[in-house]
Amino acid sequence: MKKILILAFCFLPLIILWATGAEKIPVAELKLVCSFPEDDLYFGSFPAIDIDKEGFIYAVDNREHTVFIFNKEGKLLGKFGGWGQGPGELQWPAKISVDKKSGEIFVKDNTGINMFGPGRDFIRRIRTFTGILNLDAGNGRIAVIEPIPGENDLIGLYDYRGFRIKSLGRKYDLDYSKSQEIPPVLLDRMANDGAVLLDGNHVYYVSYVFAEIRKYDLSGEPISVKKLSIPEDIEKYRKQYRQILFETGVKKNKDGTITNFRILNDACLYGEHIYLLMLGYITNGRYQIIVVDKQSLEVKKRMILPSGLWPENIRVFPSNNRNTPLFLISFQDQASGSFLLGILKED
Amino acid sequence: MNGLRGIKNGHSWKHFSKLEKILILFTVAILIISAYFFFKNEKALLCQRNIYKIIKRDKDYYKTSVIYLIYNVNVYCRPLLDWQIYKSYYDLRKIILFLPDYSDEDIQNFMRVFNIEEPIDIGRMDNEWYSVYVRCDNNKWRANLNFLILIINGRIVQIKGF
Repeated sequence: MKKILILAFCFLPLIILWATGAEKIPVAELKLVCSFPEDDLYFGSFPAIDIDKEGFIYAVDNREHTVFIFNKEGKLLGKFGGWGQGPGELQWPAKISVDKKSGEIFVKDNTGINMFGPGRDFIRRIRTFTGILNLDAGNGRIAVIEPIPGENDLIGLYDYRGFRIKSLGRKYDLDYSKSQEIPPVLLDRMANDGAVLLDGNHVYYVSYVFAEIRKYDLSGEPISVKKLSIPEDIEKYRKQYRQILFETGVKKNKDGTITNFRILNDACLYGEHIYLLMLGYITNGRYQIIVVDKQSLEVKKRMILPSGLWPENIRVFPSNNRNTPLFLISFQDQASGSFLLGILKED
Repeated sequence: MNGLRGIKNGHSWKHFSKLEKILILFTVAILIISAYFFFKNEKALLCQRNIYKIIKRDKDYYKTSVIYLIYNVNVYCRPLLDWQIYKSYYDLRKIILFLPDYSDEDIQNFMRVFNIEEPIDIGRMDNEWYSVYVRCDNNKWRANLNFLILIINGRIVQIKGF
């Protein structure tokens, strides 16, 4: 009888866990397989990245106004763009998105969205007049985050000719008078900074500031909202940012700069999951990739990046073993300060 | 005169007196500065002359108008200069002309983002306006500017690049 009681006592926590439905989120370590470029090419800042269906890597160098193309082994295959205002030329390109089906490439620069064909031939420039924050393209649609002063909508949905099909989502409702040192346009950009992700049927908005995912259908109807709840400290940061942006107001630093408030650095869609790149200071050390199920928006896995990397962007692509994808990141190497691309896989 | 004689006779710079040297340097400086302003003004005049060529052909249409030649604007960091002022002047004809490669969708997006409603005259630059734009946009920074041209009673009152 005594033995049975001891055994029951030992299993009690497990039983409670099972009964409450609590689920332990698996954690994996990632290791850096390779980094590039190694030759004479140096990125001037974090390159924005994307991958096409063939597995070619596109990296946008903002300072060189150029898109570089690599294969998965890191070999430079070509480039396009270059400084200018003519057809196919770019001015301060900052984001890139490749239509995974058709192979068309969309590069956001100072003038709008530049569309290139799968053969990197220039097709057209779509002017947006809004200073867009982020974009994603696929299935004939371009979704862009464009907080416009005086409008409540956050995301614009365009066709590939630049016709605005729909607007959806709501901007965070800020009281601009609380942040008198910051122009409303800039404040909107700070608070609504995030990623927009498109699949065939849904649009996802991921807030980098509040680590919140909002899911909409293509007609713009909201389907669900989920706030990330891991790690434990996340709520502390969320509360702090909310307080600054909505209550006390944002102030300039002594040197005139403005601190950006972020929990996440980037997000992407791959298969049935959304991959979120979480900043290192939120997790007390190393950057993490949080894997979220795109249907339920529940966290399914955490992956910890190697130390010594400051990653800015993330994309996921298939490996030879289809069950374990590979991760492409653009990062700054802590030791050398160089901006590089790296491929990571589960250890 | 001694100075001139000095040059004519092939005397070197050291044979000039201190005062003569100052006078020569001063004259050269004045010439350079005058040339700079002359050419700068000439460039601006050339831009203005080309605009006059167009507006003279349709005096009534352009008589009291504000014309925007648009390369690229956005609400974030490059707004439509002085639009808030001019939009409320109902007797001022508002003309907005875009680069020739602007699509209909671009123009629709522009009107939506800047909240511009009729009545304004909006369209793409024809060859003549585009060549005016290129001439006015000829700057040493190779920056592509937009232009605001204000015409009152057939006279160009202001040309502003932004």
